[in-house]
Amino acid sequence: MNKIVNEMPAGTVVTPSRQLNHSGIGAPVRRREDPRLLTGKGRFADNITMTRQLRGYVLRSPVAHAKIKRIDVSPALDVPGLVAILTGEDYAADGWGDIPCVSIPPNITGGGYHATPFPPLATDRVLAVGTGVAFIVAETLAAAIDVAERIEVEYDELPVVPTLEAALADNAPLVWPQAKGNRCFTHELGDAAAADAAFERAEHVVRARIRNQRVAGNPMEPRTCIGAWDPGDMRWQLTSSTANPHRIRLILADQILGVPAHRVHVVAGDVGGGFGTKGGIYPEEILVLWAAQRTGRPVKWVSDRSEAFLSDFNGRDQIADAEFAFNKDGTVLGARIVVNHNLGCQLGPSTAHPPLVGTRMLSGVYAIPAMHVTVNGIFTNSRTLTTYRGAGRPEATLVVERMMDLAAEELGLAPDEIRRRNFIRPNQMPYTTCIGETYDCGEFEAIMDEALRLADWEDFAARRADSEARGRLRGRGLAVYIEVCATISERMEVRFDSAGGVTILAGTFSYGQGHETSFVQMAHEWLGVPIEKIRLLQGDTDKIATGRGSFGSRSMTVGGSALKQACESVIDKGTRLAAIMLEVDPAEIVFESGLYLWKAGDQRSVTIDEVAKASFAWKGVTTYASGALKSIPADLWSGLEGIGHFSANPQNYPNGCYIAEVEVEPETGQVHLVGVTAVDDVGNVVNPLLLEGQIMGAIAQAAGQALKEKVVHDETGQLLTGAYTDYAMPQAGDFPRFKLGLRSVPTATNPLGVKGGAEAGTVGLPPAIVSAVVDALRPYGVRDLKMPLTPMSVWEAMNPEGEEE
Amino acid sequence: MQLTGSQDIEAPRERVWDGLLDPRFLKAAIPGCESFTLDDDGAYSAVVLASLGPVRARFRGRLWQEDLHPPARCTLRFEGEGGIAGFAKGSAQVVLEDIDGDTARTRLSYSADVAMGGRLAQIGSRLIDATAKRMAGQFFDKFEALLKDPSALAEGSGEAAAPAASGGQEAFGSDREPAAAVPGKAALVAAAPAVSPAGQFTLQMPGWAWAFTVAVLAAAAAWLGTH
Repeated sequence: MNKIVNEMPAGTVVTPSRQLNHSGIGAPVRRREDPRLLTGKGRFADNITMTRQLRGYVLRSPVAHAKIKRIDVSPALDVPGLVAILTGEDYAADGWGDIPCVSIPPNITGGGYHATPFPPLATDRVLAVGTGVAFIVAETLAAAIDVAERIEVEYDELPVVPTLEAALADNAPLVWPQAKGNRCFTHELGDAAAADAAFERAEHVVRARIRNQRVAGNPMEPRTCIGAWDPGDMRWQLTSSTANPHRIRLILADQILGVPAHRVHVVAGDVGGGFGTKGGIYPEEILVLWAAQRTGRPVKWVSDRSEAFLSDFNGRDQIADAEFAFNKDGTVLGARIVVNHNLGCQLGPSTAHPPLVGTRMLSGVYAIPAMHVTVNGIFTNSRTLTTYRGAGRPEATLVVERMMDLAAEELGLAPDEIRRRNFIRPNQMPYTTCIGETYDCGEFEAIMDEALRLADWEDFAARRADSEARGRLRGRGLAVYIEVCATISERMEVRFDSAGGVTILAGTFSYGQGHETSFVQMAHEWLGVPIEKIRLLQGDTDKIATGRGSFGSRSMTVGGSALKQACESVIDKGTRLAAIMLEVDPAEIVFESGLYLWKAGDQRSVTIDEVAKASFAWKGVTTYASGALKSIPADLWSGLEGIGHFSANPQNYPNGCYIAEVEVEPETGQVHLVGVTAVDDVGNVVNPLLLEGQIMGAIAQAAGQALKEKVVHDETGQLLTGAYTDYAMPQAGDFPRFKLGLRSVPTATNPLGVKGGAEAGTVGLPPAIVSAVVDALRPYGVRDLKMPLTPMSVWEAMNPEGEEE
Repeated sequence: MQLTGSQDIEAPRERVWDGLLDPRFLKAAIPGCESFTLDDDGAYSAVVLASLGPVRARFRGRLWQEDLHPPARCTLRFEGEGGIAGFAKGSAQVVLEDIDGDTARTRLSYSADVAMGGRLAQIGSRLIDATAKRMAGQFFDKFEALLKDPSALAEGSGEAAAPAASGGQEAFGSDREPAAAVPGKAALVAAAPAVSPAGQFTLQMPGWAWAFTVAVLAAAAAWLGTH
């Protein structure tokens, strides 16, 4: 069993109830949602079957770039069970809107960006393999597929730029003719003149091209949605496996339909993961609504696994050309970095988020005096890219940390030593990097030292000798990361009912994060109500006024802080009511562990449960001392409830140190991950079990990217990794026992002192693994390696001529 | 993707060559072949029903011949379209040689470049090679049997003309209706010139291309059906 070393880190929010109460903040409460989810009692979108429901099927383009010459549906019209064949022309004729991009700020440098039309079905041109060209609605899925088989689509093929490399080549064909060089936008950060001056002074310059490969999101539950149309109420209802129901409602109402949002009802029940890829809107979520209105019957669409590989938006995919200027002693003087980030063929809602946010973090944990960063968003004939766990920060961290290790190697310094010489010090906090990010706190050297100790860094030589005795190469690598978490605002509502039950109406949305446990723990702590009497309600836009969903490790910071405010609002209202009930001055009432107590007086008290019941009283409340029936102010007489808001401005900066140790089989190039040590600063911890799960999951995902995963297209843009036979996923057997530690520095930027903890591993671990394998291959003169470090790529690096040894 | 292989046939080269250009032989030997039609532009279109396990898909395709050197070698280009299963296109070079100087025996070697798209590329490409080879073998087994006993051709049905049913025969033939012969089209094909001068475009149906295309598509269909 892996163990969080410091279960109760310094600075954890401590309240008087803590000692008595083992389910509050900081307690390792087991996930309350698991019994339901693990025993088949969850309710996912595909568990729902609506009356008279039809099935939808998307006919997709088999070619990557082509004009659609002709779509002939006539051979399919006699298939039994066919209800409708809908095309992009029908969609345009009905006047529905395109999928918007909402991730490029209006003040982007370089004069705006190239917007892309993105209707859910192609009209004149397909831009990637898998582009939808027709939506078939039939009584059964089998009938819909039969119809799809018979539809004849004639394509006039166009030149293809399947990859970032192809799109950046001289005279590359253009995905969008107006986007010269296949460039959607260019954004610059930092000071070019200052950076150039640093390079003129430099005693040593390190240069490298860092490739961060494209990966697939692979949520456990493939995307599923059901559209329904109510002709009486004139409303659309979307049931979806989305990770962000309120965002989808907003896009549907504002951008797609142009109707008041109350005419759109989005519901998400249990959702089986998303990792950032389910947070925008997808074509199918629009198609099922459109088809439902057209046919007058509910329409369900379910992605199968290989369709998910083809149609889900992907993550990462970036080339960074970096040069870092140093003094001979290893002090970094400046950096110039050009980032080219693949956007795919069209801009989805979050497509530009990873390149634009990630590049903000390119200074890492180091005091780099001068930097200039250029980030280009690049179009390719491939599926749209989007946020994927870490979303830009893993890309940035790979660049900074690999550059530090390359510099250490070239300057003859140990990897920890070069970092010590460049860390931003705690006494420099708050520290604004030269590309404009202000870190509020962090103790980077101390966290690295803690990780080095936990990993037995000093005893590595003995372990290496042991590996060599067994015929294996051994290497170690470390990375110190910083990321940025928690965006925008959140709204949380807490409502008591007449029986003393509490409902949290969350604007966040948990699709694996465990909010039914963590938020309930927090409300339990603050309100003193037993956990069993608290329920989390989320994911229904008719029930939750508004919300922002869960992504970017934001929920504890913004959701938790808003929940705290909501609970405080409830407690304050309850104090006024308790004062009436207890017949004392509200200023003299203290709220403790669910009890309103006249501490200054005779210790008379009333529970929040009783206060809540009183707030629903039919005819006033009976007072404590006199027994009189007193009336209640109107605002307290319709149920005890409170609303909290919080906006994360500034954001917070989780950081930490990851150390990887690997063994490499020299005969085959197979890499074995034999040691993973992680020490994270995620601020205060609400539930160490959930945090441990997040960190372990992120480690597995990071190792997957570092060692195995890659989305591959051939030169014609065909997707070659369309199933798990060709797309390698990390498995339990790939991992050693993790050594996990926390060294928390609570942030003052939110009332809980929490920082994001859900993405840390994906940010910190990949460069540590790459550096560890490079370290192992040092006898072979290997300087750098590109992820994924598959046996073939490692073996080829060891055998550059390809000869047998 | 590259598909290469060879097949030894107990017949002289000229006879093999004629057989490979004889649409009756090919239609009989290609599993599930439903029709050949001659298009206005001189290319052939064909429809093949491939039925493997639970999956049955109808593939449409066209092909063109190039660089004919009878009875030694030729090249052909082909395109096959399997609806939502994807497509395959490419070219194949076929060489006929005597085996160890024995003019009564022929070694047919083929080398095909195949590009695939859609679901074929996404989930089938790595599995196509072995399956396509196996199916090409089945095609040639049947083809060789027809060379030995052409009388089966007279019946005009591929399924009926299967004296030496191989594994492939079971896979294709047993669970579906025999493909009905279409007299009009068969007559059209049979009326085409038998042999053309080297390098000239001809009207013959070069069936091994179909063997490759069909093998690729049908293997993919089989694979899709089991996954």
